[in-house]
Amino acid sequence: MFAAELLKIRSMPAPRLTLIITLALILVGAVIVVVIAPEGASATAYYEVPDLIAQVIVAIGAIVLGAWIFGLEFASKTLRLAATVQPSRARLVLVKLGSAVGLLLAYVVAVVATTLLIGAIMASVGSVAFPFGQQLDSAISGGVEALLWGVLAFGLALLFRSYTAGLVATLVLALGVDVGLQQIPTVGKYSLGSATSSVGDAITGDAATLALGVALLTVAAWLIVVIGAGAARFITRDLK
Amino acid sequence: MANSVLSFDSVTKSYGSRNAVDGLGFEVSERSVTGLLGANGAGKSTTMKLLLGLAAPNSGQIELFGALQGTPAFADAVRRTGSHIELPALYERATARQNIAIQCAGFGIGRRDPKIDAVLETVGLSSRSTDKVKSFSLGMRQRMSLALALVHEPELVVLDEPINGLDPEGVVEMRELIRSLPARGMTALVSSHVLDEIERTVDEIVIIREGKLIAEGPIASIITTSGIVLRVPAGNGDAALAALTAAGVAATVFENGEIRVDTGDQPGSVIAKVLADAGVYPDELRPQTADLESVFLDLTSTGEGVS
Repeated sequence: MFAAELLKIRSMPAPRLTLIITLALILVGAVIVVVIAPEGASATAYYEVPDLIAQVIVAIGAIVLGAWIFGLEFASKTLRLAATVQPSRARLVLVKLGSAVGLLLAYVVAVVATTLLIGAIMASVGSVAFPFGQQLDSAISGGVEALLWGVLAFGLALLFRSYTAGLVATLVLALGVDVGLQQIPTVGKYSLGSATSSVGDAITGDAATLALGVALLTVAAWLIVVIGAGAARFITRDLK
Repeated sequence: MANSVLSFDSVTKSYGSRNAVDGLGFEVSERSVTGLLGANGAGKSTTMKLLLGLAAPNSGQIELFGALQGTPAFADAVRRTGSHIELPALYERATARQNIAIQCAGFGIGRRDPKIDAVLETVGLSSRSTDKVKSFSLGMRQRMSLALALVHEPELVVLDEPINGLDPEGVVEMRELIRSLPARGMTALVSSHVLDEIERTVDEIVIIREGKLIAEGPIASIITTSGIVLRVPAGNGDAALAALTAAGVAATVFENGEIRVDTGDQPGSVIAKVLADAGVYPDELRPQTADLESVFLDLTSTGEGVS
């Protein structure tokens, strides 16, 4: 079954396009920094700005890819076909989840590597030193956070049985609901955004809202609830 | 019946208060082509979804290759099927070959396996194998869907309305292809609204109405279960009708001199004896044959059972 999922990823344009657009946007962002960098701007802006752009774009790209794994089947109405090839629905969910994680990991690694390369080139253009270790931690941190949001998008697409709905629900949760949740005293730090940020902060060594263990458990709880609800709905309901 | 690959036993499937399938029971014998007939909304697609594990019954038993629905073995049995249910479902942005390769990968068949070229050849899409499916007509999509159903050489092929969108040449090719499946060791369950085509294609039929079984059996026996037709010498029509009526046999005299007799459970010899006792000797006595369409319309409108 993993072979079939891998072939889907290789055959369909969505994963390639997402990666190409992500890299293009990071490159364009870097070029803009060079063109418009004002005199006296911080020297580190040459590599920090592309890194910041990458962190935002890689998160959106990961959400697109995460929702796409199951969303593809809903959009093309091929789920019935997939469910006769792998009639165990629980196994099908696990295979899809594994494929989503694999795809997101490959995407994040490609973006992290490219961001570091662009950052190093930018630093060279700006004639500033490039702190590779620090930028690597930053890129990995952004990549891990993006991957977690991508997995959430996978779960929401499964739950809502729609690529578009999964995508929109994840963006609404990330940009709206989660921001609101974080404002709530005491429990706000257990929002998914806060927890993923804490995981990221643990990688970069920055001060985190939650301890790494608690942050990981919180992220796991969020993902288990969403994916579990989606899987329960998928396994128990008829496929139309 | 020969070895059964599929059996439904008192299967009911409800959607809300409506029974889409209502106490349905039938069998599909190995290496046969069985037609599943019914009007729109009769429960054909639901029946096919049930046997493929895409929907779960509320009650009753479904047995596929000896595995009961609801058991782990049933999932393995479903993998021994190939199916096309309702409209073709394809990955639009992938090519024909990629679509088939994806299906093959799910069954452990490599993407360079000769089976892929063979099935593209079988469905007449070799020349379009590198084209994206989104450019295909409905007929080509039907062919693609059939290719996906056949490529892993399943033991049971389930085809819902397989000739939708096909041109006349395509219909003939599809018929020949379906007819060839038993010789290749496969069993086919086919639904279609085109009764004339079903009549030419299948060995056995299962007719359902409102989710209930109306008729099941070899197509020849179903088509000839309507009774017998008599032709009696001129002037003997009234006598024959009177004798049959007195014997409790329903009969109708037609203007062409034919008498159509509803034999019910009685063999034709009983009818012949009734007439002979009345001194009427038919010039002709033959089974009342009908085309599938008239039998289907008759059965689905009256709901009379045939066994």
